[in-house]
Amino acid sequence: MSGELGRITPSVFRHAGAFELHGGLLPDGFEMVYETYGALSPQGDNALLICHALSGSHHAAGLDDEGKPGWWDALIGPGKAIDTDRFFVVSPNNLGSCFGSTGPGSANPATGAPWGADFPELSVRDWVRSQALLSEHLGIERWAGIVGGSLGGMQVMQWLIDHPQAARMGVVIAATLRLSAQNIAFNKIAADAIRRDLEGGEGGLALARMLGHVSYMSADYLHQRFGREQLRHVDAGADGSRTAEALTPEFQVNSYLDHQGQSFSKRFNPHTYLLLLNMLNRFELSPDQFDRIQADLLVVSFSTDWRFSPERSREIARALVAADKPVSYVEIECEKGHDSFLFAEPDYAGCVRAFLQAPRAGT
Amino acid sequence: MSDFYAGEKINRRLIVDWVPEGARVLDVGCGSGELLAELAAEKNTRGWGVDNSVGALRECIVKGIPALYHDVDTGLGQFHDRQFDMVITVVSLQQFHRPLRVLTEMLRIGKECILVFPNFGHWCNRLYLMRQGRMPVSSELPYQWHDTPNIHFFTVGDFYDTCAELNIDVLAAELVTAGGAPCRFLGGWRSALAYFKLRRR
Repeated sequence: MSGELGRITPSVFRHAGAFELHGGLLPDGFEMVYETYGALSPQGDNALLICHALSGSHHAAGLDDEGKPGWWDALIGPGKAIDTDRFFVVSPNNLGSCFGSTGPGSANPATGAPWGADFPELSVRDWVRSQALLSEHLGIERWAGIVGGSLGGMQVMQWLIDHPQAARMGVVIAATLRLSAQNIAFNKIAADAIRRDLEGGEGGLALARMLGHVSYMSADYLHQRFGREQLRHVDAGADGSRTAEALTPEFQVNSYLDHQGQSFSKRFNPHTYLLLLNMLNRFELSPDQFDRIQADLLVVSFSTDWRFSPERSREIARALVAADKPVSYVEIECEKGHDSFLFAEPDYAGCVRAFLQAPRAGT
Repeated sequence: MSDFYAGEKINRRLIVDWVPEGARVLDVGCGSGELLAELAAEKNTRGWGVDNSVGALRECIVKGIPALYHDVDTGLGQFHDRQFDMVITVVSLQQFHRPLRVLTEMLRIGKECILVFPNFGHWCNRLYLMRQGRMPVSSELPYQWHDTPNIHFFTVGDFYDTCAELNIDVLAAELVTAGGAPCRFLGGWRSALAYFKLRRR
């Protein structure tokens, strides 16, 4: 089941005033593209904010103008885990991204040319601040909930810390308080590959994406999907000799990665990727900041996620219990690795749905 | 976890009465969270459940009861000393692989503990074993020796010995028959469930 919400037309929010980012100023403000699904209740108390991950966009559910379903269509829709019959769901594209919101591909007002590498450094807090302006624009005084996976989950925590009154619920999926040395190491390889592109080489962004892709999946899942399947079988000749092609088989998994890398480099901005890698590396929350949180929380991890492993989520849940917060934590058995958060595995979807629809004090 | 013990109906009233108003509570092996819901409603507690079944956790979550996925046999090291006013475990202790470790951990992280366990020394079990020479099987204990989740059976007498050995103070104890009546005499023979309120000495 996908695309039940039908064709979705994105909207644009324009903030005209100067907007300060971690590393500099956007003198003419910014534009933020967003999609919405479902209807805002007359009391305005059923709005959910979706925070996307590194390469995500505002197109989370329904179909875009090319008929492609959104990245979280498995979870967002009528009767789904994030139920659009009940909630008004708002899904913005983060600043610095490259799907319509102001980012390195936008024009630098000082020069009229694209910002490129000159786009100011960003922080997750900047995203939160910019989205707080979007909330105001939409007339949403308090979100029913803020939901996100991976980098999106980290953004949820930042939201709840920076604006304790801004949401009743938070759902933090496959996230972490801070990147590990291994995470940073992977990011370095990706960033180095991309920089080669910017210095006149090619294929670096595709390489970065391939590396990311491999790290988002578990070894078992990758093997289950592709095994050692080969695209071309070149049979040995009658005399038993093999051609050069047969000696260098084209594995299915390689061709999949090539395809992912190439399609990604067509749609993604290399400067955005560098900006976001940097931002991820710098992100760090300390458990004592959790004292500020006023929302009920659900923390979710996946058994085979080796990028942000279950231990990273347990750490979050533990700190929230120590801070006396009403937090639930579930560890979902799922073979798909970090990417599990994109799929509606029944235990996972069921827990998210149960949490969002549960009765709560003061609601 | 407590669902695995198809045993007597738990008298939650007894437990609720032992929990102070507004207490910070951890329910180890919380199942679907009924006890925590009752405690929140009646004693205004702030509580979390712990269980290793995602199905059980979902039952808690849908009620708005905070619950945490955790395999208790790995310890409770994620919680600090005296973090909770009351740590409760209801007919779960006999299911843990290392029950004494769980018990000492509970007494470390809780200022007080409430423990409810099935009394294997009930006269029916004693008679069954004596007459049949087989491990007792009944409507309360429907399992065979090889498929039972209840892997560490003990009696009320055993438990008093354990408390003495581990320097655990028994603050209160209620022994209750299968029908739910308090045992005024011969509790070790007649009680199906034992309710203990404990503290580390």
